[in-house]
Amino acid sequence: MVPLLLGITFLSFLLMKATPGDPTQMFTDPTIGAKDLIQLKKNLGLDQPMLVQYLKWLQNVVQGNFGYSFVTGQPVMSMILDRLPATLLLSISSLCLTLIITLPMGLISAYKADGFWDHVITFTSFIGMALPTFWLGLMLMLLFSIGLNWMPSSGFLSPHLLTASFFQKSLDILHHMVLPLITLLIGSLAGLTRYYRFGVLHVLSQDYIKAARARGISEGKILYKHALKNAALPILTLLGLQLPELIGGAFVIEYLFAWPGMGKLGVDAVFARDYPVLMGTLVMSSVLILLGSLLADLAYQWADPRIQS
Amino acid sequence: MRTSFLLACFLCVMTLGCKSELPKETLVLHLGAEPSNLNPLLTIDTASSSVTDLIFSSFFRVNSDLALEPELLEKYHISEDGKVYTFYLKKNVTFHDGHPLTAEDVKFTYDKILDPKTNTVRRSNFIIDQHPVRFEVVDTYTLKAYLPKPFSPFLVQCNMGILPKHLLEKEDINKASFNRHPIGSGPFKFLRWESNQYLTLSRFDSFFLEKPKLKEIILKIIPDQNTAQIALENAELDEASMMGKDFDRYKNSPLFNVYRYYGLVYVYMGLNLKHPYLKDLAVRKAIAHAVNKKGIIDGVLKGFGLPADIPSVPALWSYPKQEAITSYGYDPEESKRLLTEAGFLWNKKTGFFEKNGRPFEFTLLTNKGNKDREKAAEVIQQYLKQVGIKMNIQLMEWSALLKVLNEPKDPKSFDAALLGWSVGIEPDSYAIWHSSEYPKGFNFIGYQNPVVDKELVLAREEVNQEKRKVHYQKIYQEISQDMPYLFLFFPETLQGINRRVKGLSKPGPAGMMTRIESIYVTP
Repeated sequence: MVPLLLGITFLSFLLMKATPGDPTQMFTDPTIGAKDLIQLKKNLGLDQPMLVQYLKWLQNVVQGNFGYSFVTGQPVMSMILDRLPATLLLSISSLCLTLIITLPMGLISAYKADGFWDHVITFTSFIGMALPTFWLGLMLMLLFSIGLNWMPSSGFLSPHLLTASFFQKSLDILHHMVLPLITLLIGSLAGLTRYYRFGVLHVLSQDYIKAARARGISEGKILYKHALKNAALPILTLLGLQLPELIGGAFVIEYLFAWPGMGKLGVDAVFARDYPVLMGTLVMSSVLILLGSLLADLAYQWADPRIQS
Repeated sequence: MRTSFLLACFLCVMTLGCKSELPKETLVLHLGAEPSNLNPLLTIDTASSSVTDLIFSSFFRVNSDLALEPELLEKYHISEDGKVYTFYLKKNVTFHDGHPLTAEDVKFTYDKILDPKTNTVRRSNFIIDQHPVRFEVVDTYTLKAYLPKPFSPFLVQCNMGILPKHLLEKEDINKASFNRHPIGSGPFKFLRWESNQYLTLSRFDSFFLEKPKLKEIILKIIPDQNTAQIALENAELDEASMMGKDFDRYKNSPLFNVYRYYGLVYVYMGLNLKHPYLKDLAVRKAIAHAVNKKGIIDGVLKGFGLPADIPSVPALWSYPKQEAITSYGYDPEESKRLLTEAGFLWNKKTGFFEKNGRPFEFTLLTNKGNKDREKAAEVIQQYLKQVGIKMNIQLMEWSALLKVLNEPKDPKSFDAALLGWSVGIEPDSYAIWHSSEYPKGFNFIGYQNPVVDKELVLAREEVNQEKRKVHYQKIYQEISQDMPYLFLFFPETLQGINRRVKGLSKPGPAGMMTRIESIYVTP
């Protein structure tokens, strides 16, 4: 895993440096002299050869120091940790809800394939997928914040509640989370529903199900006990791959709802060419990708005894 | 069962919501981005400066007429030769921690800017003709600045938030925790910064000018403009800027007023003067006559803007009388005539002008994501097509675009670029127009005019404003004739402010809260 990580970071570092522009170019202001920018580059260590820059970065990372942001001067780790809770809250809730909602939807779709409910589910989930997140979020805001006045339009925690009790705070955050969560959910239902549908459909057409039916086992038992577990296998792989997405954050949602998450941190860092922050988020997600596929493999073994280590 | 449980939870959370209400004695302002940090030396982004302006005090304040009004200064004096500035500080000023602010702090602040180890881009403001400005403490409340030669933008450029020496003396200023927990001498104290959410400031009771009426200011970070507008409409913000397209929807809102004023920005299409066709003045004139600026303003800005002809904005003192400016009006026929005269032939088949068998074609760059610029580029493309000029549009990511423009080579690899400049209250624009600023510097189009070069230097060295105005008039005249940029428009700012906010200054480029101490909110 370590050589893999080294390779990933080195390649990313190369790519990052290959993109045009550098952090000092952000200062486009006629009152700023070219000399200042050269001095700034020197102070940030950007005048050194690329390999030296990479090795220096690596040396620091090994010692647990991810460096300081070029833009804010803050330690990269603390910037990431600052934004992690909000990101995880939103992504984990969304993942759990997606799983809970798509499972019955996929089952119904598959079991009554090409029936009325299958069409309804397929149609609505695809519409959800096709709606632009940006537009959908704004419409929800107009409806629930302005029209009905049920929800705050944006933000995470109301400033006046900072010293309130844990319960009050959680409630307030939950309240702020409703709209981003709905927007996120509507967009992500279609994918998983289709996976479930396909998986169950595939399993249901197999011989052992036919045999089970022939033996007179009840439909419910066939569906839940025999079909579901087998159909769930590809979903496990999928979940493993989703692990890095959990901390990646959802840029559009975060931007729109002013949600203080990781997505915006990463994207802003790309546009500002804030190399240390970029590398920090990258290391984080590559570790999670590797971890995710490892977990998926383990889960696979557990769910399917045929797969041996 | 499960669904009904979820639904119940959902309803429960929803019923929590009642009509959102803005807090009492607290002003809730909008920030369009997370400030990079709160040390005025290290930042130039507007989000940071809108916070540091409240926390730190500086020599002057910019009032609603864009004039400098003494803040920290009792008075100042400029020597006859314009080389020695003497600053007399007010004596009752303290930092938020109770420490008095003295000339030592001022000297410390400016010396920190001059220190090469500081990651600041302000240094060249204090280096004139390769020589740094020297600061000298005369006594506790008096400071002298020695300039190597007269330099009138100095007064505006030295207007920086003053840092407390006693807190930063022994710190690495680039990484100090001070940068996120600043202590200044301004009307509001720093209280809290929740990353990517909001900042809270509280009133500084011993502020030296006048005790602020507001108890607290909350600055909410909402990156998306649409969301900010909705938050204003939903009484979650006291203030937000508006987009032209939404003006009609909001102009009669019972909750907030919409104010209109012109900012300090002009938008232009810069033409690479080393381009084989665009270096010809007749061709540039042809382009100018082909484009209807009014049409762009109506189409892109919904009418909220004014056509521009020079690199300055009407709100500034240096802006000349309209008669003194050459303006190339919309006249497509004249445009075609000029092109024919310049040796281009009209190709009936393609509908474009040609020279030596090659169509008149060039590419306009602009930054992706700036909708107004993207749309303006498309409108210009249509206008140019009507007179037979083929213009392609290339959208580029900001950093990549700057790389193309700033690359220190001659000639540069672009034809034209649609951009904007924010000019500030000091009209000096040496960095944009002086021939020495090419190919390194912001004169990326390669403009060269000896008259402008000379006048730019004279205007910098002149201290008297009336005399400077004459120099700038000459500069603008030359530039408007040469048309190195196709000046497009001055966008109008639309600002929505909740009706409960009182004590506003008159609408102007400096904003409507130029005296933050006088602002209050009615219950």
